[in-house]
Amino acid sequence: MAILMKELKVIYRNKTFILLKILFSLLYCAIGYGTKALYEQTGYDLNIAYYFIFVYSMSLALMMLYVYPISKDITERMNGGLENILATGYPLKRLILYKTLGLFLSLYIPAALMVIVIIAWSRLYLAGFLSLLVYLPLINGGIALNYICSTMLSVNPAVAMSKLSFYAIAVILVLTYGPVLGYRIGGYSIDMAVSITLAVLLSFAIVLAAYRKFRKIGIEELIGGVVYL
Amino acid sequence: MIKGISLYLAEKERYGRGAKGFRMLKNIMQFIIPIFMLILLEKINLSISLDLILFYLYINTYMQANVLALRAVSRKQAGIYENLLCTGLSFKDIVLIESISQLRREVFQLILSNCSIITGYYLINLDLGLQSFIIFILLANLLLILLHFIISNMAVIIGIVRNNRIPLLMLAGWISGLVFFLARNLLVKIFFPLAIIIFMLIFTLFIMYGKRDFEAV
Repeated sequence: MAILMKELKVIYRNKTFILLKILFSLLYCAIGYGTKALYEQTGYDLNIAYYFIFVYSMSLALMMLYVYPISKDITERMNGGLENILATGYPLKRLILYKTLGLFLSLYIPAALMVIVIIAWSRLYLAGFLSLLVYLPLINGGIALNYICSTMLSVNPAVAMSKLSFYAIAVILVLTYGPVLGYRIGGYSIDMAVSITLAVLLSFAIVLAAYRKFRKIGIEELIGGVVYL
Repeated sequence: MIKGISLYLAEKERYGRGAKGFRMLKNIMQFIIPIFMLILLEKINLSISLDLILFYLYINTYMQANVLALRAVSRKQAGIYENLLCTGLSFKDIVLIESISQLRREVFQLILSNCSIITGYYLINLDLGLQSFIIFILLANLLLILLHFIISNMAVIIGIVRNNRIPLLMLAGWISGLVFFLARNLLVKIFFPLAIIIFMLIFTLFIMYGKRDFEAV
């Protein structure tokens, strides 16, 4: 628990992060409310709300990776902070899980706010709570675990972050322009079943990738990562 | 000496990892994919505006700078900058070394994708003569390199001096990029991003020439 408190203190003592988190939370709430206008423009098509609840909330969680102060992780990695904690006998897996929980809270809250705003106007309580309680925690937890393990395992955390950022931007672009392109080319709009299937598949893939990385990480791999350029 | 160290660093990182063939393939794809995508989108009646292309190039520059800032954090924590100061280099030299090496590392791909996007757009939309087209490409590349250099300097300074403010760089990039993309008024469209970049330039010069070396690092 002490590690979690330390993580939260380090994250929330960063004024830049707090400012950006407030800005992004407001932006996400605005997007959630803006979905209502889109819903009215498309002839009261509830599939839009389902798409934003199930699929699009993930891309917003990915955006938060840019705001998260990764430099503190790089600093901790480089000055041997991790090794110091591990030398006290603290288990590595628990350390990773608490760090993941710290990051998870940063990613989850803005996306959850957007979903709550959508629930408020669309009254899709079941879908909304399913997303808030099952799907969003799975996706955000998977991203957070993957991110923490990548930063720890990488010989150069900055490069690991840039790779993750690249995937994040690619996913955001596909999720934003994919439906528009699909509609313009084939006249197809994504319906509820496709949104739910996409959400299940994506969360499954992300959790699986994170779990594989979590299984792979160990003290030896961590020591192997001290060589950097 | 600054140029020598920068090029050495860039070459070491460029050729340190990855097969040469793969890199060549990546560069070729960097040139072919944007032209192909632009023509394909035109064929399905979904033409992309010049604003959107410039927005992408602008944001991409900030993303590269973000990675450079994080790289600077790693190097600072490893004590490399203190070592360089001990050799007689100043803080200003270190910033220049980092940003020139980053530019050298990225310049080829930047120019390739820039030329590809502009050529693709020219083929489907613009009605220019060949001479104007060549001047347009040269000018666009020159501006992009200058922009990349200014933002890289800023990124290195933030990475070294105040690393917890790195996300602000991305935020400045996104906000000015979005204003550029969405603003209806031409003056706002041009002057808001320009003001941000000039502010960065002044801030960079102020820190580089105003702070004492050991204070900054």
